[in-house]
Amino acid sequence: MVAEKPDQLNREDVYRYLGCSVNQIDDTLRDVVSRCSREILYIAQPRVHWIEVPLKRDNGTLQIQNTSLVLEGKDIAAHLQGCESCILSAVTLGAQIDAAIRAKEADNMLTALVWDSCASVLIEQIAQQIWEQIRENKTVEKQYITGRFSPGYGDLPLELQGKLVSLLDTARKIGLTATADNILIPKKSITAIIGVARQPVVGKLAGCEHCAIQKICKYRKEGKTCVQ
Amino acid sequence: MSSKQLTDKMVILDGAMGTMLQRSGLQLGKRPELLNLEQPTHITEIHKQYAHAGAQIIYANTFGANAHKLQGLDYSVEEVIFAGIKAAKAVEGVQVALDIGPIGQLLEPTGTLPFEEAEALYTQMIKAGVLAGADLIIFETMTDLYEVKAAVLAAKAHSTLPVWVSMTFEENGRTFTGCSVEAMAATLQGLGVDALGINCSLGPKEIYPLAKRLCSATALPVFIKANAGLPNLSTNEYDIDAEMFCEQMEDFAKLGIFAMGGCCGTTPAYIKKLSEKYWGKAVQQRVITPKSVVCTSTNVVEIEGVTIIGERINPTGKKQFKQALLNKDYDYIMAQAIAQIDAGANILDVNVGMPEVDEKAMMVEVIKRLQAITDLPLQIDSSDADVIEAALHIYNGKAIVNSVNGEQKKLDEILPIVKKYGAAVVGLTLDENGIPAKAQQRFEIAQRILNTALQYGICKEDVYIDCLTLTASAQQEAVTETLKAVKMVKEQLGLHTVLGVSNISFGLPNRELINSTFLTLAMQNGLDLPIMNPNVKTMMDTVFAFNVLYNRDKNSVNYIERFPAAAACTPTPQAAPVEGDITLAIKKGLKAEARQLAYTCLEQMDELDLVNRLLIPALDEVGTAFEKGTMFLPQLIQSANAAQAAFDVVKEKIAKKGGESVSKGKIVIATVKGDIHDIGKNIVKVILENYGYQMIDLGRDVPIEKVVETVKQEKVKLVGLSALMTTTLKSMEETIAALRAENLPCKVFVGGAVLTPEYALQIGADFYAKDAKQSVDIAKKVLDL
Repeated sequence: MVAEKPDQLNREDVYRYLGCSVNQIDDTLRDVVSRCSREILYIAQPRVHWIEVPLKRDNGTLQIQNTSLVLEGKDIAAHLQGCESCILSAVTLGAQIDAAIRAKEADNMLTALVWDSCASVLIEQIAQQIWEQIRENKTVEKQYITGRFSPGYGDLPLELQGKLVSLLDTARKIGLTATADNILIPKKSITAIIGVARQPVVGKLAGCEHCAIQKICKYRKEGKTCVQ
Repeated sequence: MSSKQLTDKMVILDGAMGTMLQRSGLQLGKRPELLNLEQPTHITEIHKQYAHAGAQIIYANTFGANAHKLQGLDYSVEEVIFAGIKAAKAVEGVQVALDIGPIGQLLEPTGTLPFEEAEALYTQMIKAGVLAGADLIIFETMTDLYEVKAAVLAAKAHSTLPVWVSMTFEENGRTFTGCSVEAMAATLQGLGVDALGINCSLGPKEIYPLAKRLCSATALPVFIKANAGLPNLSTNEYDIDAEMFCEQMEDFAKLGIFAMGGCCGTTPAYIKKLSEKYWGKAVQQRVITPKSVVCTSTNVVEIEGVTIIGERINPTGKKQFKQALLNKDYDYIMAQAIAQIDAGANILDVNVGMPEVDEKAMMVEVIKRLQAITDLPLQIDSSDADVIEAALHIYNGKAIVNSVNGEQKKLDEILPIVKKYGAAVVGLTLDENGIPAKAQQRFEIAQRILNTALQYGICKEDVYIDCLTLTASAQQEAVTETLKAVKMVKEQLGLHTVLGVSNISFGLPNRELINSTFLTLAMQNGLDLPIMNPNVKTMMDTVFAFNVLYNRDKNSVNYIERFPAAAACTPTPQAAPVEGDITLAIKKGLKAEARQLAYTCLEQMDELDLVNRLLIPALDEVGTAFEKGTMFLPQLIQSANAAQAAFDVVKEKIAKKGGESVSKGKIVIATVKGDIHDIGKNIVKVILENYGYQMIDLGRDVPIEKVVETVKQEKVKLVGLSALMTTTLKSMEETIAALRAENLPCKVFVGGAVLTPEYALQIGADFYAKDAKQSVDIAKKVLDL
């Protein structure tokens, strides 16, 4: 299904991805960022696919009912605590964005870098938009949802990526695949698990303690986290 | 099953297998093909229901039975396919298709699956299907034209069965990977597919406009398997019933499709309706206007009017290009492509032949790399049949082969390859006796080339004739003969014509004037495909003007866009001499200024001085500012771009003198096996390049052996490895271990988001590079004396 595009990219996030602080941006870079943002919003063809599936807890293992899919790790279990079901979702900007970034890399590395950052921001914004949409729908049904939790967060293995892609049949639904090494392609894509419950839940996003880059994380050094 | 049999009367295909299996409780995420072995009677039962409903062709339950999707499961590809065909053949009175879908992994360059591996995966399925007794092969629900090509080549190489292909499009007429209906038609018709179709994703109403396009883009029989409308998002059910489905297929029958069935959401009830209404009905005749087209999977170029072939990817007479081929400097070659694309070329000629280069390997590599960065169709320029075949094999789309000539031996050698891969071909009007002096004789050779091509089954629209440009300074009287020959070929044979334009002015002053004048004359005589340098503005201007005067550029829209009114009344200002400091230009990231200033500097100092005394110190300053946090990555890259422009001037000057290129040493750089995130690595490459290091970029997802092999062969002293994911750090470690195991005297630096200095040491790296700037410091330490 086609996902709606936001009207604007969050520029501050783009600068953050570029490693720049907003008050030190020069006009040239500002122009490049605005041009790239416009172009990327124009050519991106974001697509989304999600399903809601019941959860099963059995002897300490957390599983998607009627499937062989096990959600491994303490962090996802904590996140989905109190949830009867969860939403498995996948969203992608499409192969055209990868192709465009590749072409830019051969032409001008700066444009490529800005495109790459804009694309990262866009996919994040779209994933968030979809999450908000789901939350609205669920509110009407008197249900509550947790935040998004993706493979690779905390101790939820990245290997889940391939399994999610196959379970959701995303290759057919939205053109999203995973490599043998569980990397999503097109690159600018996100899969996520969202808990659903009949009572208010907040989920528990994985903290820094399990994060792979905790030692070199820029945000941590500044006493912040990457979670807004 | 002959295609004649198929096209006379409407054939009914079956409906969805997945829908039927899901209704009978197939577990989510379970591979449906395993049921061929676990519940074969259930599968046969579903096939039977479709056969009873009237389906004449049954798709066996083998869609995802490839080695990739079956990995880690208990059955082999052969077992699953044998059981699948067997379950279908248990139904009497139907033809059974070996049904094959996408592998489930994207091919390079978008994904990581090499074309050759895709071919191998399909070969395995096809061999099994043929042995199992399938009556035909159908590739369906395909979205990547390149993958389809791998599939079709495998089918053609390992079976004699009819091959049908249906692809899945979105409402915008493109697949997920951007392939258009017309690109599919042009490419697959050429590959000798027997029928083309559209299936899945949309209902009949949405597919109709696409089917209409397909029906006018191909002369092949067309078949359609639509979904039962669109899915209702709250119920996940499809929204049209059998009755309406059948009704909506009426328009397709009128288009002249020869077969119809159903995809997702359809059941035997739908097929029964179709069969009652359309079975055995006479297929409508279609009238197709043949066109000359070439394409990539996302860009179809119709040869109509003047179509520009860029000539710059060619080492002939270009010292710098030759050097790039010898050094495997692919970035230089890609830059030649990009400049021509920006200048407005429609097709790019690719010639990489020179004595010290393995032309075949180089051609394949360059084409793969070009395909990754441009959607312009390519013209494969070689006289070696092996090179041409290797190039056509991996080309994604429909290419042009440049060239054959009137020699029978050449024709018999190359035309079968052109036919096999469905390419277009350029025929040069010369033969064993050389280039005839007179137009009439060249015309006769053209005629001979055309006739032979037709005999080999190549259609007239795919034969382009080059009447050969001779140099005006040497053979002045021959110029008008060429023009005459172009006119004769165009008017009397009705073929498209090609000419290499720039040759005309060799040895004369003011070559641009001669070139553009000749181009005008040639176009007026019927030249369609000038092979020329699109970077020369006057040449392109000539084409734009010609299109206005020949009433092709309606209302001069393109011309006016090229020459906006404001510009028309202001005289072009003379390029002002640039003043100032090249160091400043680099620090500020001013590309054009840096380039100009490099020329100025080189009047007073030599190339090495410029690099060592000005360029590198400027970059160092920027690097230090970056380190301090007063400048950011985008600015660092901008400065690198500016330095690059100055560096290009240095290289150009050195190449002109015939000297050795500036190299402070070779560095191999790669994103490790399993990882595809390479923008960080590419940034490091650009920066290091500007310090004068010769970068050997192995790309991403690079096998360990390739790193080792390259370090060995090129005697490299420094290797940079990059990985972004925690999961791929392991392969970084293994790559380092492999280098150490070979006792290679090289240092290794590593970088990437998840690395730390401690971890870098732990996995055996010599250095950890936090960013591009630190990479430079490391390179200086290791390589600078």
